[in-house]
Amino acid sequence: MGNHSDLRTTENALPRSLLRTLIAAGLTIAIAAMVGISMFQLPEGTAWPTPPARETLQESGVDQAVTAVLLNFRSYDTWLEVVVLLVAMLAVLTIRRQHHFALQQTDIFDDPVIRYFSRLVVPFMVLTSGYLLWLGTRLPGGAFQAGAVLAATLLLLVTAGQAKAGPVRSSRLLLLIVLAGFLAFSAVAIVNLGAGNPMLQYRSGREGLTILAIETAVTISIGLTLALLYFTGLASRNRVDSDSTHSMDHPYDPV
Amino acid sequence: MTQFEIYSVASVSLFGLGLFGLIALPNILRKILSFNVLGVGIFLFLVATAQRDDPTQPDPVPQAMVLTGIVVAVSVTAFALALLQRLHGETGMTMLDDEKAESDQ
Repeated sequence: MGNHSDLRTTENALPRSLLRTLIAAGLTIAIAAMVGISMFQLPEGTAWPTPPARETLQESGVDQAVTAVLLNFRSYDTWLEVVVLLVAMLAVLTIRRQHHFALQQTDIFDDPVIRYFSRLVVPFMVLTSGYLLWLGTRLPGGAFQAGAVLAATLLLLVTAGQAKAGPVRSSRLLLLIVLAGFLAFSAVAIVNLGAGNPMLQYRSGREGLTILAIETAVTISIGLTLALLYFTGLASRNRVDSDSTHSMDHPYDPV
Repeated sequence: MTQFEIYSVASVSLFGLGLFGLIALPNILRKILSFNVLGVGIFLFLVATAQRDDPTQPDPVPQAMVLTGIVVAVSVTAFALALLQRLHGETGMTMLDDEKAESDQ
């Protein structure tokens, strides 16, 4: 990019963008070299202490260590991670000047082959999502993987024109689904606080069930939020192209 | 080279590649992509450390941190793309002001 225009302006001394590139290259090599050297000097065997997460796995309610860390031992991380997604969602809505959540229909790939293909694979994608969620209690898998597949399903549905039957206009319902993961964690916290327990302690013997319930809510939330992050942009871009002056007034107008 | 060392070199390379792109490339979309490459380098290193000591019993904590990190990176990327889209919608620019001036010199 910058370099192409540099070639045209070789009359001047050293173009500033070339200078910037050289400085960036030097700095990058220096930093990467330092980080690389420090990696090779990590003390043997003591970088991470003996994983305590493995020793206490039996108490977590699931048989998969990563799921146990995410949903039990360090469930604060996951709780706040769902909040990060929510904040990103709100920030994107604000930047795009949208007042409501909206799944807007688009016809980018209005093609019979793609429409048929999507109708064929969507049920299997939903099934895969549920399977990954269930698998997460024993093997690698879980809420995030299942949520990503769910988001892909929603993207395929809308971009293939399958959501034509009508854009979802109930932004309250969408808001509730987007909030489901956060609310599931909050419900556990409130119940525990009411009973005088630590905030995210799962009831003994019910850990597996609680984790699965929270994971289901988080999966649905992540799936919809990721898809909405995409759709809101799509809708607002089309609106800006066609009619930028009234974009605030009719957030749901089909383009 | 041990497996951990190969992973380390690969992750530092990705990290450096992303850092260079973040600084040197004027186009904002490329900066966002560079930021993601940089992040992938860090994730790769975390995964490598998780199984450095005993590949058959990887430590789940760094692995869980990578999963969390991916979701945060996706959120930041979506936010950055929305900002870029707004910038492009309002000004027609895909570069920052000063960098555009430089390349137009």
